[in-house]
Amino acid sequence: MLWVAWRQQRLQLLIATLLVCAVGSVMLYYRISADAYMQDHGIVGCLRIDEAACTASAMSAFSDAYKAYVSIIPMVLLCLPVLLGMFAGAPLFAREIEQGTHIFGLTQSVGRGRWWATKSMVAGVPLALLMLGLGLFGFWALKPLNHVTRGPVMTPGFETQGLTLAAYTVLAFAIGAAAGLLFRNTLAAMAVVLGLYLVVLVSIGTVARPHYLAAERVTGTVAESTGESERGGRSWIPDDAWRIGSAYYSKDGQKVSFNPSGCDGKETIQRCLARQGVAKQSSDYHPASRFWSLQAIEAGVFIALSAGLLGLGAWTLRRRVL
Amino acid sequence: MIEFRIDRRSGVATYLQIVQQVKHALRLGLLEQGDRLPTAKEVVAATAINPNTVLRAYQELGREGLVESRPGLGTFVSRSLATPATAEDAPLRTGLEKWVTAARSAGLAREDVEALVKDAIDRGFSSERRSDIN
Amino acid sequence: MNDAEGAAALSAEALGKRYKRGWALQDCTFVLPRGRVSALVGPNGAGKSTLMSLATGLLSPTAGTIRVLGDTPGRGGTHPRLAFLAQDKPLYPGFSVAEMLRAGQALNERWDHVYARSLVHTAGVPTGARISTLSGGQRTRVALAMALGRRPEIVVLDEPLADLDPLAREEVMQALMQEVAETGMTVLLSSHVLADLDGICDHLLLLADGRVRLGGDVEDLIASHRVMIGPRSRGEQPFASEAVIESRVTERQTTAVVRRGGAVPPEGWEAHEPTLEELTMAYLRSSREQSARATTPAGPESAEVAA
Repeated sequence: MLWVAWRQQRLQLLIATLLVCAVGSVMLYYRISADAYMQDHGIVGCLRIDEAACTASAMSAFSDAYKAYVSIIPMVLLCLPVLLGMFAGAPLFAREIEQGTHIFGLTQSVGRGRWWATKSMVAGVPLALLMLGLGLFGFWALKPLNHVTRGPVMTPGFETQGLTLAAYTVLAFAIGAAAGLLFRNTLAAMAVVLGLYLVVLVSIGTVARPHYLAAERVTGTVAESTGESERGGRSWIPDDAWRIGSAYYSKDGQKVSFNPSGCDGKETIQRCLARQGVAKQSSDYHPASRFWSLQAIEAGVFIALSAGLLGLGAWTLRRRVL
Repeated sequence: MIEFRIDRRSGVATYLQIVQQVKHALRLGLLEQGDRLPTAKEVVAATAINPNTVLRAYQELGREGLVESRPGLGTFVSRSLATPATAEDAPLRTGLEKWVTAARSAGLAREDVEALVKDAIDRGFSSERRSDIN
Repeated sequence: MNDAEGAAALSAEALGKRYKRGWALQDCTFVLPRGRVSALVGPNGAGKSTLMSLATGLLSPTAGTIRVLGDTPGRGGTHPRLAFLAQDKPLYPGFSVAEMLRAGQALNERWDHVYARSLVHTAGVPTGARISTLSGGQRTRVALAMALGRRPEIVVLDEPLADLDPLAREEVMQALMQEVAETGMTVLLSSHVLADLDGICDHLLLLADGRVRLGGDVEDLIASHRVMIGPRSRGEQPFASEAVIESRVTERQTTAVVRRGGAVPPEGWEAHEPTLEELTMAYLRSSREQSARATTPAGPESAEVAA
């Protein structure tokens, strides 16, 4: 069974490997290039603006040089899982059903469960490993560009580095495999992958992820929060932290609302806040140091979802086939 | 060795066709005592019929004492149906052959000859018409 | 494994299968003895494929039981001594013939590789050829080799001759019958080309509307029926109505297929042994009549069909 599954899947696996290697090579090229740039411009090791060599102007020039790459590469990386799900996961069972070859496979001496599991493993595990490799490699490759990407803990850095790429791939693959068994049609399964993947990704990112861990909270006056005092315009939470929410309070500590669009373009944000009766502000955020914890939780959530979908597929297969 | 010609659309059961063809060959002396009949596999290779049918036919022939099966060796003719009267140089047979040649030179077609012969057979054997069904 | 030597090749008791749209097979009871070549005939939608899927374990029965060599088909793959050749001869299109054979080996514990390869070789199919490039006949021969490579005691073939040209039909049947001669295996094959089955089958199972209408040894079935040809009858026929399977009236004569209850033909009637084709056609037409009458209750009561 193992050989058959491998023989059926080898072309897709080869293409997936080439694709991942191509993206990896591009990232390697930019890592080397960024290292060289930093060397040439004396900003080696600068991950954020500070008072020493990493001046605001030098860092902003660095940003400009790599802005295009940094805005494109996360899109490419986010597309990979859905592509793999559509072209490796969706046809895995759907195409067999369309061609009737599942009848051949299931009328040999291989049990239904083993047939399903072997096919899923042979097609899915290499993809997950490839994408895990790419995610970890990406974490390294994008490190010098941390200032430009605004760090790995924020979107889209979070989704495209570390463990998440592999987890998303597993999910897209599981959607494809399960949809293929349910709808018995490759095109339908591909469409389901595309739709469901986007829905899950966006909703998990906005609804669930901020609450994986209890956020850090800073509270202070408007002057402190807007950084107009001693920090020279920089925010009171670190540049590479992920701000997930703010709250505004009046002088007597009552929660008030703040409407940024009510601000006059000419006044400073501090003045506008004051005009709307805001005296104090608090911000919730996840510092960049939580990257790996958040990654582990996100990966766990996606793996659990994937397991559920794969189970649904297996259940469908148990119930009916023809 | 005898080769069977099976006509699947004749309406005659396949095993009967084999039985009749073996008997025919026995009568004409094409098969003699001790001759081996083709195995089921050999028959199937030539005709694509169910081998069980061949075995069924041989069973029938065995029941009539015409052939016997020797396990591991095959099925052999145990009794010939050829009589001196049906042998190749028998006077009746050469006479009939001469008659056919004459009929042909007289302009009769095959169908005409067949019809005449059949009619003659029907008249001559009218008392036992139904005996040859098996 | 319940390997009773005496167990039938395939048997069913009150077997039924219901899909969402209704019963595809209902109350089927039959026994296929070992070593026989059985024909499964019936109109499209009669439940032939469903019955075969139940035998292979692709489907589970809704009611009753089906047994393969005494065992109930499970979900652990098809019974190791039963091989199935599905209607479209599904084979992996991207594989070469040699790879397909290797797949057979990988998917089966019981697999005779040398034998399977020799069958492909005999068929003259190059082992390097891709499955997708094979002709219909070649494809069927490879699929047959895949089925026989499992060294089955029963081989189940769903419409194996459909979409083959006459030469390929003959060759495929010949290859199959040679295996029967060699191994004595049991064959169950479905076809709606009845002429293909004459001389091939010695056992018959006729399905219509999901039920068994006729089953048994072909010789017995033929012996127990007669085609009666007689004058065009006005009104009553000289046969007991329950004995008449089907009768057709033309301008001059009546042709009836009747069960022979040892009766001699009445005066003016001539009796013939039916051919397998005549017999099956009579049952197929009569069951179509019955189902038509079941759906249109206003239909005529007589079993006459305008010929």
